[in-house]
Order: sequence, then structure tokens, then C-alpha cells
Amino acid sequence: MQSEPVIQIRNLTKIYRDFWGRKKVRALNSLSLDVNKGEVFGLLGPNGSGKTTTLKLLLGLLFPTDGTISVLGASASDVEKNERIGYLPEESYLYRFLNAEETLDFYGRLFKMSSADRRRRSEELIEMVGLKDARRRQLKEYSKGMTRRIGLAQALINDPDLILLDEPTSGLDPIGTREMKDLIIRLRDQGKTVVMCSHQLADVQDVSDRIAILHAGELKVLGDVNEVLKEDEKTQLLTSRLSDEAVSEIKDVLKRHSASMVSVDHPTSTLEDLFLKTVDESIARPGRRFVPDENQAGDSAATAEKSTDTADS
Amino acid sequence: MSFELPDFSLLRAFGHWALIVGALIGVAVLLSMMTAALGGGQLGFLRAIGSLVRGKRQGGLPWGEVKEAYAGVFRGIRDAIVEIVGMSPRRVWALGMLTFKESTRRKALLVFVIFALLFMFGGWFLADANPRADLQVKVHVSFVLTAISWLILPVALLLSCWGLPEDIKQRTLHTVVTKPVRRSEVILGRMVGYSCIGTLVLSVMGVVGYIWIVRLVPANAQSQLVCRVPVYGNLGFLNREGDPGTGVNVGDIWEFRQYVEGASKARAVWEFAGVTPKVMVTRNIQESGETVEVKRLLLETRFEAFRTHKGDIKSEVFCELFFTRNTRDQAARALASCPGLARIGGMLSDGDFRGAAIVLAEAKPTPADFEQFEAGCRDFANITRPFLSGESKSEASEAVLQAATDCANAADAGSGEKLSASLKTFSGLLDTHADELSRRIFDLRVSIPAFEVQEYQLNLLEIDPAAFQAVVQDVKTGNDVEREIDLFDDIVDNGKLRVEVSCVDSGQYVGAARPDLFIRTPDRPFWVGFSKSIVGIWLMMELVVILGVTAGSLLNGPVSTFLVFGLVLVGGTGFRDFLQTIVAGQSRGGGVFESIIRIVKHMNPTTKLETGVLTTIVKGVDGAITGMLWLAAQIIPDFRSFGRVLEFLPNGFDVSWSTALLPSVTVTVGYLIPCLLVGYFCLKLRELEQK
Ligand SMILES: Nc1ncnc2c1ncn2[C@@H]1O[C@H](COP(=O)(O)OP(=O)(O)OP(=O)(O)O)[C@@H](O)[C@H]1O
Ligand SMILES: [Mg+2]
Repeated sequence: MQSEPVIQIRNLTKIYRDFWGRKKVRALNSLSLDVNKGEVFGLLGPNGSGKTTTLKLLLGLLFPTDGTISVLGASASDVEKNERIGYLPEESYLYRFLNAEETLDFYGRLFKMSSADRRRRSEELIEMVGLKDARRRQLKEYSKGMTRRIGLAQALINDPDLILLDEPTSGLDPIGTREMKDLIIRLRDQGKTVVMCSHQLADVQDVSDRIAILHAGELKVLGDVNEVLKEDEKTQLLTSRLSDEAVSEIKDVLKRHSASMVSVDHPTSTLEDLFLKTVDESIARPGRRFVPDENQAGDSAATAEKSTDTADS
Repeated sequence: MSFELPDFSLLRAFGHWALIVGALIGVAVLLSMMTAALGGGQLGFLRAIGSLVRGKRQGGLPWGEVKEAYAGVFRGIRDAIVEIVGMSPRRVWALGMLTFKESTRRKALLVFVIFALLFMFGGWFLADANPRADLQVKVHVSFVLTAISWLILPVALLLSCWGLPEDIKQRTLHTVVTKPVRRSEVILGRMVGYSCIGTLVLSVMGVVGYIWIVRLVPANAQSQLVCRVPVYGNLGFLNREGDPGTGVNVGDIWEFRQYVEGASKARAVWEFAGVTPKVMVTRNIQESGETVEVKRLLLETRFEAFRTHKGDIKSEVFCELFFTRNTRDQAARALASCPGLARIGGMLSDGDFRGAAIVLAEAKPTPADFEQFEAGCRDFANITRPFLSGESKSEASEAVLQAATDCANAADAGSGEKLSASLKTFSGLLDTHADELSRRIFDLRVSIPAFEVQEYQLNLLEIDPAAFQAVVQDVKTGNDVEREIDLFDDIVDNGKLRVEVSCVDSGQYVGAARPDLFIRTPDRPFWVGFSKSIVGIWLMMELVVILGVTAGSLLNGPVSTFLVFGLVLVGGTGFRDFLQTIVAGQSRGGGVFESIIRIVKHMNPTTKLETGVLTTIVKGVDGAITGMLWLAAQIIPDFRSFGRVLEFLPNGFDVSWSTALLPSVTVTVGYLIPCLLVGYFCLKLRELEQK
């Protein structure tokens, strides 16, 4: 895959403090990761693990306590870089007294877009997110899913190169979820970079190229989806439909190690398994941290080894 | 109007502004440096204080971090400049329009309902409230202006103070700042938005208010719906001997007016500048059955009579008004200002040119006096030029003028010999042509018939500028001739007009203050003054918006409302001055720390502290505290300048640009840039997410 980093995070730590500067929560602890150009990156983790915090740090809504961030080659507090970024917040923080058209027009005006461009683009986006019939209604009348949809349209108004989606499928109906996934894949095909947080593991698995799993502000897993889900210790046979005799015969044969193999593969478990395992592991052995940089090979070995524990079910 | 008109200098105001803003920026940079040193990073100051309070701070300063933080401070300053300069009008406008929509959808326009109610029923209470026409106008106009300002200000205050905090609280601002929007644009956009809605509300109210006044003012008072445009003069007094001095204080505690004694040489003297025939107004008069247009000079007076039992306590007091051209007097004073020539003053004034020649011949100017001789002679030449050269000139008159100019030039060149020689020539000429000179250089004085002092109301004098006559000596023959005098041709000298007022009745006094006599130039239509007053209210509203948005960038809604309300209150009353006197006045016993020391040591406030290091330190610290207090007092905006704007129209005057509107404009504009900076820093340094 391409190796040009769009996002570079190094030793990022975020401590929430109260008014007097006293420490409240350590939301992120020495996080380092890169997101490359043109990939779909999934950020996973249980509630309160620091996913949203990471995205907000990337956008300069929060200031890091320590560590550095570079987004599209600029620092997080640089506003110019926002020309090329689209962000869908966790909850859609939009002006509730505007209607869909006004919303898109307003956000469009904040970019260098001509009024014709703006009109065309809002038209397209309203069509795309399926709000054609509600375009003139004020946002305060919208349902949750509709609000998510207009939020998405707003994030894409500037045709961004980097799209940050915080739980994009939450609140969406199955069709909406399906369309969201299609959209993400379409965006990737256009060469855009997508970073998404989600609890819908199946969705993430479907669209992501790489994933990271956070727990309590620490990075636990980072890597290629296919890579991290590979289970080396097992062998999977895939055959045509067999009779019982055939199966027992194959068992015999396998005992003697002399059968011809129809299909031998490294099967992939679901991301769900991996997620649960990682969280269990992390709770069982706190403080253990994944070292993400250079040594990718060693990492995948480590995950593979972990996954053997519950392999025989 | 009964207030002194403060002189306003734009340059001085700007200097003051630059000083305050500079000092504030200095203090801010100093503070941030301290912060940087203490905390080694953003918000470190609070953190440092927090840990100090809890006694947990260990170790010295991490010097590397501090240096990094210092660099950060300077980067911050640079960024601020880039931010302010690089704002995009398009985005500011987009944010402004958003603000506008937000306000309208928050039902801000409900204020119109209150407005309508007020005006529907207000008329009931105002109609025929007063029989005097000018007071009826006053009541109506001040009702409208007051109602409009009291309605618009709370709206502006509430909208601007709540907008940004709500935006942050609802997190709607978060989505905005993830677009390429600068924080300064957010601030300015808000200001623009509230200004737009305020302007809309204000213009509607203005139009309605105007129509309301014009329709409701009773027919007999309609003629009073004008804006008088006064030209004020400078007021001086001559004492009872006729020498420049002060008027009499008749025992008023409030020394607004000074009084001239009746039947004496005491005078109140107004000197007007820039008087041309343009100040006259056109009047239609009936002349042998036909209507003709004539030009008249209008003088409005409002003197006060002070009666004593020395005179007749019951009868009217009359005063007399003279227009004078005191050429000889001025010329005499010009020469008398030269060192050693003081005696010339009285002689020349009395027309004794020969005596003046003798004094002049005895003059022995030293190099130190040259400057004054130059000025005195030059002034003499300038003052007398119109009478010594021009149409009626003679050889003698030109020679005198030349001699005076020569003296000035010689003094300017610094040559003592030449000056002495020129003075000799000058003196000789004065002596030889004394008679002709006294015929040419004389004080001219004409008067209008004495009139009664009518108290508590304006008295309009319509003066025909060509209707004067005076007896003067013919230049050539020296015979007395009666001449027609034209006010503008003969009395007004280079646009300067001198008006003297005396009291006729012995034992009585006439009181006068600067605004008690003015030239009333052609009136402006009522709507002109009305619009200017509305502009005054608009400026006040703008300032409230600017302050409100700025406060809202750091504080939450209720607190910023309270703060701005407090500023308006403090800035609109005399409290600001009160604070200033505390700060500026040398309070007895010194500043805070000095007083503490005195209390502890049981020292009397008048004994001096013994000099020493401690005293120096204490005085220094006290000085710094006083400086800070002074600075704090300066931050409070002077809302009274807006009030001043609103005083003109109810009294029937056009709003003066230089004494009322311009100061208001400068106050509002002066707050714009600093507030923009403060707002930008507040939003920038604030983690929007953090609550
Ligand atoms: N404004 C805040 N002030 C204090 N603590 C905060 C703030 N925002 C987040 N936190 C804390 O930071 C930690 C990480 O929160 P974050 O929102 O990043 O989690 P998340 O991974 O997005 O969770 P979720 O899946 O529920 O969205 C949590 O412990 C949370 O309580
Ligand atoms: Mg979240």
C-alpha cells in the first residue's frame, strides 16, 4: 500500500484537566500512529477509550498535553489545512435553526467555493444522503438518522482529501449503513483518505484497510486488517459437500497424512473476536503496550500467538 | 444647552488610545512571559498557581521548556498579526449572516412589539404637556430618542453576550472551526451579524420615531422642529475699568456664568472666528407691498440678570450689544508685547502715536529679545496692513508698514544694528505721521438698540448687517464724517468678529457663559439632526456589541451580560471620572503600601518617610499599583460621549460633529481593534472542547 503519511501522530498524550489545572482523566497515553494516503483507517475501542479525543486533537479542538501531530503536513492548529478536511462529529453539532440547504450553503461559504459550485455541490450531496424531501425543513425537526445524514453531507461539502468520521453509521438504518459503506469505499477509490471510529465491527471490517484498537487511551493493536486477523496456528480445509463416510475416511486419511488437499487456507476470524480478545487481554494485563513503529513482522506474530488461546471452539 | 463644550482633538485622542493599547499589550506580553516561565507551556500559569497553592511544586524551572514557551509567546504574537490581517471578508460575512439568522430566529425582533406599544400609547401622556413650543418639541424628541436607545441597548447586550457562549456550549462552533475559519473571523463575524440586526432594528425604529414626532408635535410647535447650527465664540471679560479680566461672581456656587456690572466699562466679549457672509440667513420681509429677500445675521442670546437692591429690584434689566473692530487696540498690544515697550500699549490705545514714537526710540533690544520683537512687529504689520495699504493707501502709510516689516525682518536676521536702525526709522515715521495714523488706525464700534434680558428663554436678534452708521475722521482732511458701516466689510476683520455685551442699568448685573451668545447660521432640516442622533445611538449599540462579543469569547452568557452591563453603567455615569480622580489625585499618606507602613509605624500622614531602599521599593510598588489602576480606569469606555450626542436635538440644535459625533466615533472605533485582538486570543487559547 501507499506509504505517504497523511496523519502522523507521535507520543500523543492528552490529559483532561479541570479549571484549576488539576488532572481529571488521562484520555490518551503516548499514542503513535501513521495514516497513509488513500487508505481507510478504522479506529476501534470501547467507550471512553479515546477515539473521539484523538480526532478532536487532530482538528485542533483540543490541545495535546504532550506529543506532536502532523495532519496533511501541517500542525493541528493550522486552519489552512482544514480546506482539505471533512469532519463528521460524533453527534452532529449543527445549527438547528437552519434547514438542509442553508446548512450546506453556510458551510460551503467557509471554503473557497463559488456560489455556483456551492449550489451544485449541495444539490448533489442532498441527493446523495437522501434528504431531498426534507431539504427545506429546519434541522431541529430532523430525526437522529436524518441529522447524521446532513452531518455527513456537511463533512463532504468541500470535496475533502482527508475525511474524519466519528461513528458514521450510528443512528443510520440498514440501508443508510450500507450506503455509508459504499460511500467510504467510493471515496477510497477516488484516492481519499478516510479515518473512522466505529463500534460496528462488521462494518469496519468490510471497509477498512488498516485498524487500530485503543483501550484506556493506549494503543493495543495496529495493522493491516487481513494481517491482524490471520490465524497461523490453524489450517482450514474447504471441500465440496461430502458424505459422512467420506468425512470419516478423510479423518483416517488425515491421520495417515496422505490425503490430497482440496483447499488449504489461512482462515480469518471476525474482527469481533479480535476486538473482544484485545480488550480482555488488556484488562487482564494492564500497561502492556503495543509498539507500533518499524517492527511490523514481530507485531503480527504477537497477535497471532494471542489468538491461539481460544482457537479450538 | 447648559453644558460646556469640550474641545476634542483627534490627534490627542489617538495618542491616548495608542498609549493605553500599547500599555495593555505590554502588560499582556509581560504576563504571558511570566506564565511561560512559570508553567513552561499553555495554561501553565494556572497550573503553576494551582500547584503552588497545594504546595506540590518541586524542582526548578525546566529551562528548555521555558525557552520553548517564550518562543511560543512570540509565535502567538506573530500569529495574531497574521490572523487579523488575513481575515477573509467572505467568511466574515457568512458568519455574520448566520448570526443574523440566529438572532431573528431567537425572536429578537419581538422588540418591535414593545416599541409599537410604547409609541401607540406614549402619545397620550405627552400631548399638550407643556404650553411652550420649544419645550413640547423637547419632550417629544427626547422621548423618542430615549425610548429607542433603551430598547436597542438591552437587545444588543443580550444578543451579543449570549451568542458566542451558546455557540460554544452547544458545540455548534466546533463544526465551524473544523472548516478553514480563523478565530478572529468568528469574532468579527459575530460583531458584523449583531451590527446588521441592530442596524435593521434601529433604522425601522428611527423612521417610525421620526414620523411619530412629525405627526404628533402640535401645530404651534411645528416651526420649532429645526436644527439650529450655532457658531460659538470664545468668551472673555473686561472688568469695570475696561481692562481684560474676569467677570463678577455673584455668589453662585456653580461658576457657570460670570457677571458684568451695569453702567460700568465691564463687558462680556465674544470673539468669533470664521465669520463670512455665509453665516447669514435669508429672510423674506414686506417692503412697500412687495416681498423681498434680505440677508440677516442672527444672534441668539440667553443671558441671566442678577438684580440687587442698589438698583431697582423689580424692573427689567437691559443690556447693550456692540460689534467692535479694535484694530488700534490690537496693534497697540502687538507692539506692547515687545520687551521694554509695555508702556506703548496704553498710549496707542488712546491714540497717542507721538508718545509711542518716543518710547519706541528709546528701545534697546538685546539679542534675547529679538524673537519677541520679530513677533510683535510682524503682528503690528499684519494687523494694520488692511488700513495702511490697499485702495486708500498713501506714501506715509506704506512707509510705516514697510518700517514695521523691516524691524521684524531685522530681528529675524538677528542683527542688532539693523534692528536699532529700523526701530529709529519706525519711530520717526510714527512721530511725523501721527495724525494720519490715528485717522487710519482706530477702533470702530457700532451697537444695536439696548434690549431687555429675558431669562430662561432664547432671545433672537435679527441684525441687518448694512444698517449701521458711525462717525469717523476722514483720512485726508481729518474732518468728522458720518459713514455707512457694513458689518462684514468694516467690522469683521479676517473672519474675526468681536461682540461686546454690557449691562445698561446701574446696580444690576448681566450673567453670561460661552454658549449664551452664538451666531445662528442657516438651520438644517430636522431630519438631518434626527439622523445624526440615531447614528449616535447606533455607535453606542455598536460599542455594546463589540464589548458583548468580546466578553462572550471568554465568559459564559450571564457573566458577560453582567460585565458589559456594568461597564455601560460605570462608563455612562460619572464613576469613571471618580475613579480617575482617585488614581490621579495625590492622596495624602501615599499609596497602599506606604499607608500600611504609616499605620503600622503610627506615622502622621504629613511626616516624610526616611529615605532608604525600603522607601524606594514601597514607593515604586505603590506607583506600579497606581499605574495599573489608572490603566484599568482607562479601559472603561466613556459612554457619556454618546449621551452628549443625544442632548443636541431635544434642545433644537444640530448635532455637532466635532464636539459630539466625532468623539463617539472614536470611542467605538477605538474599541474595535483591541477587542478583536482580545476576542481572538480568548478563543484561540481556549480549548473549545474543555468546559
Ligand atoms: N471534555 C472532557 N472533559 C473531561 N474528560 C473528557 C472530556 N471528553 C472526554 N473525556 C474523557 O476522555 C476519555 C476518552 O473519551 P473519548 O470521548 O475520546 O472516548 P471515545 O473513545 O470516543 O468513546 P465513545 O466510544 O463512547 O465515543 C473518557 O474517559 C472521557 O471521560
Ligand atoms: Mg467517541
